[in-house]
Amino acid sequence: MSVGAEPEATSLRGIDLSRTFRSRSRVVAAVEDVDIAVLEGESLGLVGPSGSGKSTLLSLLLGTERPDRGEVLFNGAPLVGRQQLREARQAVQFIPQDPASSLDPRRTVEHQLREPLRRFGIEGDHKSLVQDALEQVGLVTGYLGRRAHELSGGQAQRVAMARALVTRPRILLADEAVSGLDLPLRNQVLDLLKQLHARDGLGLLFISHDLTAIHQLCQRALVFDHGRVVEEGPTSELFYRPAHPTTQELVDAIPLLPA
Amino acid sequence: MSGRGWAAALISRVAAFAAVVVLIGSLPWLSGNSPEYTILRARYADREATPEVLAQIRGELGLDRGPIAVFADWASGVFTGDFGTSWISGRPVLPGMLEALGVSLTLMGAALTVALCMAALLCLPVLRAGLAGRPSRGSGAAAAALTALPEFLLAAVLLVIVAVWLNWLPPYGWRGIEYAILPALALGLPGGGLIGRLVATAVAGVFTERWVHTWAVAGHSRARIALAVLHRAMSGVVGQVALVVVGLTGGAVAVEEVFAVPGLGRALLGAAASQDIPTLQAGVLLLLLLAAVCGGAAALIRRSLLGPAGRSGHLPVPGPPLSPRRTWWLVPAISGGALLALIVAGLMRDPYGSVYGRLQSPSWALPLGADASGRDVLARVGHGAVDTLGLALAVTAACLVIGLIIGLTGAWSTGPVEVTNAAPPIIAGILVVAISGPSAAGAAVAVTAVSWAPLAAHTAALVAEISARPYVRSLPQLGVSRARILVGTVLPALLPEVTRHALLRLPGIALALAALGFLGLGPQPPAPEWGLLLAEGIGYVERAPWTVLGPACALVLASVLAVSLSSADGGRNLRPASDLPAPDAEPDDGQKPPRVTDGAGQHSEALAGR
Repeated sequence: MSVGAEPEATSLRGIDLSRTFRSRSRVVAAVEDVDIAVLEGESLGLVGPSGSGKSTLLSLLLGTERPDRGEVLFNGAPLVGRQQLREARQAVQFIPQDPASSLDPRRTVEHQLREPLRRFGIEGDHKSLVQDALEQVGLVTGYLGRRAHELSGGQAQRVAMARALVTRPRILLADEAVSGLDLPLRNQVLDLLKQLHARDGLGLLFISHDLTAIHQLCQRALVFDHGRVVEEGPTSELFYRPAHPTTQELVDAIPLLPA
Repeated sequence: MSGRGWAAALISRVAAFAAVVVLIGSLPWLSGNSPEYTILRARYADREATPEVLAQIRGELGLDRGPIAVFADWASGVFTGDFGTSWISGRPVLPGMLEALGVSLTLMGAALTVALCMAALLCLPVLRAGLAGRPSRGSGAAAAALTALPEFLLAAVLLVIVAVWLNWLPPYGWRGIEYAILPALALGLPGGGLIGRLVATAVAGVFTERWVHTWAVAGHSRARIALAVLHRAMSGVVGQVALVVVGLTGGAVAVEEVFAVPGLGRALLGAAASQDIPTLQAGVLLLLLLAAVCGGAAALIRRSLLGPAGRSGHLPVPGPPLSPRRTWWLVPAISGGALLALIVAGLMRDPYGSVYGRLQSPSWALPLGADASGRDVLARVGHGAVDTLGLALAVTAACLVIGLIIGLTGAWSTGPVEVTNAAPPIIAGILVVAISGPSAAGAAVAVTAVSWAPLAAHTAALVAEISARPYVRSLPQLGVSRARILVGTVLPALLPEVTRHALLRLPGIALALAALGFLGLGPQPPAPEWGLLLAEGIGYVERAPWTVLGPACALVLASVLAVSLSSADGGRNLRPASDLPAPDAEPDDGQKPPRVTDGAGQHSEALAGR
């Protein structure tokens, strides 16, 4: 659909976003006055401690949660209405935090990868598109007929990535996509994301509490705490000259090898 | 639930309640011309049924002013606390009905205690199996037999054995706590069987969730895990349990009738029999209020049990369904075989001919004896199977379809479900009879009209629960529309459990039909319908127990068959875990070995190794 003509770069912007949750006893401002822009061809990191509101911001950007204030713009137009959401969802995909539970236990891998192709009405040979996507994430043969409980954690993570990539999105949002993985696998996934970014110009928003992963992957990063952006800049700048106490803490928390 | 969900639930409650109030208020008009004759016989036995007299009575009752005026009169009275005067006795309706409600509430409280004890006994083995690392639903034969026991049969048997033969407890009346024991047992045991079954299924399901394994490994005590599992399981079934509690009101009609307890149910039955519509109206309205209170309490409990996890999409995902035991076919095969033998043997004999002695005892030539008219009981049971089970199956299928459709509408279904549940089959039957007179079709309509509600409630609860799972919440991002998520993902995920539930209700529905027959609100003699057979035999249960034994055995066998089959269904479309293909070796990276064993296999080790 939107793949045909070559329009200007795809963009997803949040303008002045706020979202507040009320529980019985307290009011939590999960996201407060946040401006954020994810552009095709750029890689942006979003780092912050657990519970800082990163996942809520992601839900707002994906349109699954409505902001109390502010708006989300996809290619400059507000992200409201079915048609606009549909276009945005095809161009902006996301890799969930807990891949094992984001896969339907009743359906095969193949069925779950074909689903978005069918729903977005993407033309072409779906079988080979699914194969391509799986190969892209390093799952070569024998996975099509499996169900979630027949996959390891790493395999499930890569199936979730393949499902996000199968519609050929222009922007990818990843929520703690490597935090549940062991080191070799983590590096493999980071390499894959880096390659997608470098080779295909995919825009990335990489959300993590792990500053090292952000440093490996992203040119720029936002530091997020208590629902606000507390620091912003090139990743190396944040990494080597942290200004805000939260950034400082995150940098200090990186384990170092003894000299 | 979102703000919109609450609003929808509220609107649907108000709308459904209003619809039923209008129905009740219009009863005198809906029941057409028949009441005048009833009143003529009751009050003016000396007069002739001339058109002038009938018109005079219609004028006295206000029936000649059309439906709107009839309803308006009644509704304005209700708002000022005036429920009208009885058409039969001429006295105000409300004080007597409130007194009856008090008696019924006491009886229901006692029955509930019995039911909860029974349910606890049924859940214990499942809980122990789960803690030992072998989650299993059990075959459910005992629970099925309990759910199948008709309250009025149980009541009659208890009356005969405990009160008449053993002389341990008083048989009739309502003068002290000892009078409540037998009715409470008759009323509570079937409900307890159903509650126990629902909770046991939910508990077995929760034991396949991964957190149970994690907790076991983390060294939590068995008691703590058991409590947490129960807490989690209850959130899914608390609505059901509330429905069972409300459903006690229906069973209470028959039980109160058998034990001569002066409760609300007996008052309603009397009012329907004598077409005392104002009394009927007041009683049904009180039952509705009772049900609304129960429904509201259940909703609050469920909300507090689920906590914020239900709203924010963080409910655990269950493991793959449990594979059935190797001997799962044993119970259904035996009960099905026995039932088939009974039916085939009966079908070859003549159900209508009075060729034997009155109440002739069983012999080789007459295996189940003869009834009070000298007819062959075996033949009548066999022929009755076609009527009773066929009709019950059709009603069950209709209820499943209606329940699924209404349940999928989510919060909008709240009102109709609660209101429908406030009218157990017997109450609905009473209303249908008040409108159109007794018949088999009327009984089927009455039972269908109220029996879809538990299935709709179950469906709605599962929709809320499944929609909160992460894999469902990620679907919109893949372009899947809301309707398609509901039909393509949520529906298949809940279908086995709801179908299971519907099958679990098949004996109950057969019994509801039977109970209507028993109370004279369903098929009419000489149809060999099982309920009617029980009703015909119940008067002779002391002298000729075989007249009841035949149809009772048939119903119990049918229910054991239905429930044990539905227990096996969960494993039908799943291969046993050991038959899964071995995972491909992972040559390219050094990741963890794939977790291919099912969740159950994993906790078995962890929990058993404790």
